[in-house]
Amino acid sequence: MASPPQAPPLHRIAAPRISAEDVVVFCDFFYKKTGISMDASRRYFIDKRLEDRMAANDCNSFREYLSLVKFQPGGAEMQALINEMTVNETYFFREDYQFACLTRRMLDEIADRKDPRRDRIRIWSIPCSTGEEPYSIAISILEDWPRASDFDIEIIASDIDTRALARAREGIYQARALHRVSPRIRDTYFRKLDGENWQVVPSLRESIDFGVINVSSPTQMARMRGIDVIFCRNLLIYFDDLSRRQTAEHFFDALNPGGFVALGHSESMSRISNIFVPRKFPEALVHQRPLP
Amino acid sequence: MGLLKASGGNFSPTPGVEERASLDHADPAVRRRAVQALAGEAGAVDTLVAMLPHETDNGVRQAAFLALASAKTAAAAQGLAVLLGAADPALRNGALETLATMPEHARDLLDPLGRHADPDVRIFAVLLAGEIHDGDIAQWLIALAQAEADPNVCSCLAEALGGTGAPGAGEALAAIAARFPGDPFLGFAVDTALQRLSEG
Repeated sequence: MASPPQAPPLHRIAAPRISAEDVVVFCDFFYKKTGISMDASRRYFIDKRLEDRMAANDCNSFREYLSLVKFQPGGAEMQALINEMTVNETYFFREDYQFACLTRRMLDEIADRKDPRRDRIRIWSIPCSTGEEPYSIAISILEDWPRASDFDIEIIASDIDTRALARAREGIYQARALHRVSPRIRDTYFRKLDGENWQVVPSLRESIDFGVINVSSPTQMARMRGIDVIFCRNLLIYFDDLSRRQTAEHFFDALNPGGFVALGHSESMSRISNIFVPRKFPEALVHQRPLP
Repeated sequence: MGLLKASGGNFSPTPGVEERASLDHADPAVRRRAVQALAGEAGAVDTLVAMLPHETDNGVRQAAFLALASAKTAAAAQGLAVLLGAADPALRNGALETLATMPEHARDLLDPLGRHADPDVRIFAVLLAGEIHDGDIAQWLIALAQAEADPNVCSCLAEALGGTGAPGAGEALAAIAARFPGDPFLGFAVDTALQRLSEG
């Protein structure tokens, strides 16, 4: 005979208190683990998410929770914490002038240095969040780059947030994420699931290689080599100067000579590092690893 | 051809089959890896500071500067301060930018740099002071302005003092102007700095 259902514990009633000192300790710890600089003044944002994670783990104090995150074998709670603390709001064809720059300028330059019988073109979207960016890149290439069928093109998409990656692989979006998608493109690359939701067609979903990369992990970043274009938009704004510089250096190593980095419109590589050469195309300013 | 089917292979750890990296290898990419491999090792700071003046590739240099910035030690700051006297402007600028990332150590170097025989190094000392957000910096700039005899250093000092808003900055600027009565550029620099001070 089955046991009667039990009421869930009332965690929310007595949420553990988090002090200002705890927040400072947490921000320092989170920065060391992820490179992301949390602003300790955003107390509501941080407290709310920490309290949720502490309650989910039945931790009665911040100290207890921090011990769990630091020493748990496998790091599942660290990943859950990262998932809570990262922001994943985006939409298709956001800052699409950079995709126009990709298909009108960057890809031709890259293709001219490659042999289509032997060489692939490799594009990396980081952070890819819930997938809108890598899918937008793929659609832009298929629609707007006349030489797309001449080359093998690989799109790699990574994020630190495993929950966002799961959603990206699933490829289901509400209509508001598609507000910049024309009806023709929508009907070509999406299937309507119901009144509110659309799903990316299987062939496009299967063409993107999604996976976890923590930018602040040199080991994980070292796996990325031979990339031709990196889209890293609106990530570095969360980093401090040193982490930005380290990330720029990782990107340099990941790129082939002549490869490009596209940053968000409010980010400036010249303030981070002089290791790249600025390339001002009519559509966008991007940053190039110098050719030998 | 066209978009490839995802393989999942991009996220798998790959066994290292790296060529042993050497700092004097002909290929800059190998030298860069050698620099990166030094990060965190004992004695790395001395090695990096010694190799930087001879290194011509910007990618290798930047990796070395990043390793020093990450080390963030007094020894790294000392080594970078020596590079401020180099003849190569890119090397000096790289050293300055990297020193600015470690204000806790750079602060202690301002006095010796401000007394350096080379006016270019003193200019870098003033620029470095401008990067350090510390309440005592204005007093250091004011003290330096009392006796600085080089017009280029004084021009740099005028700009830095104009941004401090500190009591005593106006007098220090006036002292600079009085020391170079026939120099129209310095007069302009001082007037501009005084204007900034008055605007708060």
